Amino acid sequence: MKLKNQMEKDLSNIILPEDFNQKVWKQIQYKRKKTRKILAAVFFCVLIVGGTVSAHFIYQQVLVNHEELPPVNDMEIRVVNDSDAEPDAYGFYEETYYSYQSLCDDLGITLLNSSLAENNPYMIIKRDTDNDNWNIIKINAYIIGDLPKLTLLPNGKDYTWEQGDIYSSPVDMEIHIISTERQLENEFNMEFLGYYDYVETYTAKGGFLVNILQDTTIKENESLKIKPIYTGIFVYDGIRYVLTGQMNLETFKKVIDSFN
Amino acid sequence: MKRMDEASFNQLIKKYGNQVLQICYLYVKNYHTAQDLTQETFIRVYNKYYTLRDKTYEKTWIMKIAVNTCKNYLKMIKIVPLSLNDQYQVPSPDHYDVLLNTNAVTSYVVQLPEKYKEIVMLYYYEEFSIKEISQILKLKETTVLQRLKRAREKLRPLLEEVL
Repeated sequence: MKLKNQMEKDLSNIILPEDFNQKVWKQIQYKRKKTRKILAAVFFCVLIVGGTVSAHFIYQQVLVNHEELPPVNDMEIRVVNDSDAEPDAYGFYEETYYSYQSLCDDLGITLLNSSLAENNPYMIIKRDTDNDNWNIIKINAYIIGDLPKLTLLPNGKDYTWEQGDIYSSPVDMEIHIISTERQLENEFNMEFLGYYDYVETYTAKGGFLVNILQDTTIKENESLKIKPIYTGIFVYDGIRYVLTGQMNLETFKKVIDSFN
Repeated sequence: MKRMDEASFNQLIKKYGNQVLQICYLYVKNYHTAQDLTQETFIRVYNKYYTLRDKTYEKTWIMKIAVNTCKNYLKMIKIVPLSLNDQYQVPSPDHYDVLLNTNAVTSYVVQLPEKYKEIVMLYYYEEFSIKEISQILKLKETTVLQRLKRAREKLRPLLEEVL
């Protein structure tokens, strides 16, 4: 007899009692009533206190030193699956993935992907969400290019590397998803203060507009093989992508053009 | 956000209830605790059902919630000092647990370390694919395969004829 059949036979007496459905349904109704009461109380408190609930990253404009960048495509509502993680003390959820496909499977949507990131076993993906309004996804080492030696630090999150001929750092990526009308109205801004300059806005091969910024703390120096750090910001299919990498501008644009 | 009605919810329990209970039972080895965890699983299923976009993944999705519920419970009973709160005390075996006698094939599976046991349960008993198991347990497919191989090696001397 196969293992499955044996196990079925062994477990055949482990079944739910007949009144299980009613018990669970009653429990659900009880919890819903309780939640409604709590929400009503919270709403009342917010009205009284003045409603200072918006988080600092909730804007759609991108500003450099208070100057608004040329607009790129609009962010839109994208509904995704909730995280199954346990909430932290603040009611936020955090999950870690090691492949882009697992992330997309969990979110239940297809995200824009770069052909340069295929078969990259190094990426470490952290998803933060409130399981309601927003998702912020941070991908460490999304593209590793020609970096010869990536070593994971004992914290299990960050890498050290040796500089390649073309890449001086991996390309990291952030993805911002808005899932509710309320979040869209509250906006989802980003501000790059002090250490960035606006470089240019260009249309990538994928047809979307990209704003490119340069980190001013690193000065390019060819003789010392020091390359600049660029950040590219674009919105595709209503979702915002922010890429950062240390390489020359031509290579950085090739990275952005690899998103198709 | 559209909530599920009672009839659809009952249908869902009818379809997956016993499977969820049995998976929970294999994790916690106690019928009443498994029933509580099954209840917790279905409350979560009810609350999050609107987020499930593709219904073809319904079973995988429900099992993933069940597995997470059981693992969180097991983590909690490890963290909370048992003497502090009776609620978290490891339950003693009841008459249902005697049904799984020590000669039963499943009792060998239950004795495996958790990381092998869950793979055997999901692969052989629930007949999920390696890909589906990797999604449920959030592991790489290669890790699932390695653990399955190791679990087979551990069970082989005991269960030669059923593997």
